[in-house]
Amino acid sequence: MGGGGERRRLSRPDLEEWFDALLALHGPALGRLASSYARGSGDREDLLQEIALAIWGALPRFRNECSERTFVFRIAHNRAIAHIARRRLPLVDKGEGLEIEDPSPDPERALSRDQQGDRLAEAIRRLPIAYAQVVTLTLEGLSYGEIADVLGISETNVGARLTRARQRLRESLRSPDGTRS
Amino acid sequence: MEPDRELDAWRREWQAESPPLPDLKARVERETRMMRWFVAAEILVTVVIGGGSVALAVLSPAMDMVLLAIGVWVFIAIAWTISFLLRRGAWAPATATTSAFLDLSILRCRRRREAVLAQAVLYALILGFDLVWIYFSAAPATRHGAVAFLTGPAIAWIWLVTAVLGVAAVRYRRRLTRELETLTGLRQQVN
Repeated sequence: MGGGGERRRLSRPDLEEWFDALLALHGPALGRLASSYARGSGDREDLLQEIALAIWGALPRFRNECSERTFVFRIAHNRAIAHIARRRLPLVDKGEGLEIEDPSPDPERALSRDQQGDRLAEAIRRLPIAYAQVVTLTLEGLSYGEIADVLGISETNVGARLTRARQRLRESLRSPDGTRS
Repeated sequence: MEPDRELDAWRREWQAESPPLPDLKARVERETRMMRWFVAAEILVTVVIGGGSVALAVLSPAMDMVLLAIGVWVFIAIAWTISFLLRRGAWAPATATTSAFLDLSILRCRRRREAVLAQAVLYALILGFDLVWIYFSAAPATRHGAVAFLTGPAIAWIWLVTAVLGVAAVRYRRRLTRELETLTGLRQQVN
């Protein structure tokens, strides 16, 4: 639908069809991404709505300068960052970068922390944003080039961030309570 | 090339999680409708207040009515100009890279903070104009001095609304300051 580099104006039914196809294809990934930024299911749904709205708004201007996947993930990460800033959580410096400090742990999250899959998500949530972005995109299967394109950084930088992020994730997953030692 | 077992395991674990999605299309349609209503409401307010003041001036072409119509349109023009100036260059394309998006978000946040101040000044000007207009358009026999007018029960609700708006503006500006700090911190980090 969006391929071919054409600049023709799409009709609303075409846009809706394209939007549906994007959500069907990338919906699960967007859900995981939103979970890695949000606190609780309500916050996650709000963020997903913001992302979907931004994708819908940007769709008519998509000109194939990048792949659809890059387009979707750029929007998603940008909306997630704006969402974090509005949530008013203070940033704290923990040595290797600024992290979002969550003063009110979500009981929903605490309850599921013991589950294996959630331990990884929780560990990613604890990473500084710059690392979390690279990790989530890597786990979604994006190449270094695509991640560089989404975030606007060099591929070398992607590699360096991923190495540091993996080190921190390992430490976090090894510790019994999921925090870095 | 050696397979990266650790990353593959994490990837499997990560992608096995598939949180349920809300009906995003329905939400987008609802939100889009609401945004259209907001734009329509802004235009409607301009038309009703601006058009209404002109209609009054045409129907009863007394000097005070003409002054009111001129005043209303001057303030509408100032409000739209401020809105245009503050939005100029601050439109944040959703598809920009993270760094570019953050730069524009910071700019937008600064502009929104400036807008709070500009709107407060505009509100004070409009309030001043309205009070002067109400005072002088009343019959001279019913005027008992400016102090009595400003402290009278008929005007008390205006001061109440002004106080509520003032508190809301201060709180909103503080929220924007915190948002700006977060955005600046994130910007330093993603460089």
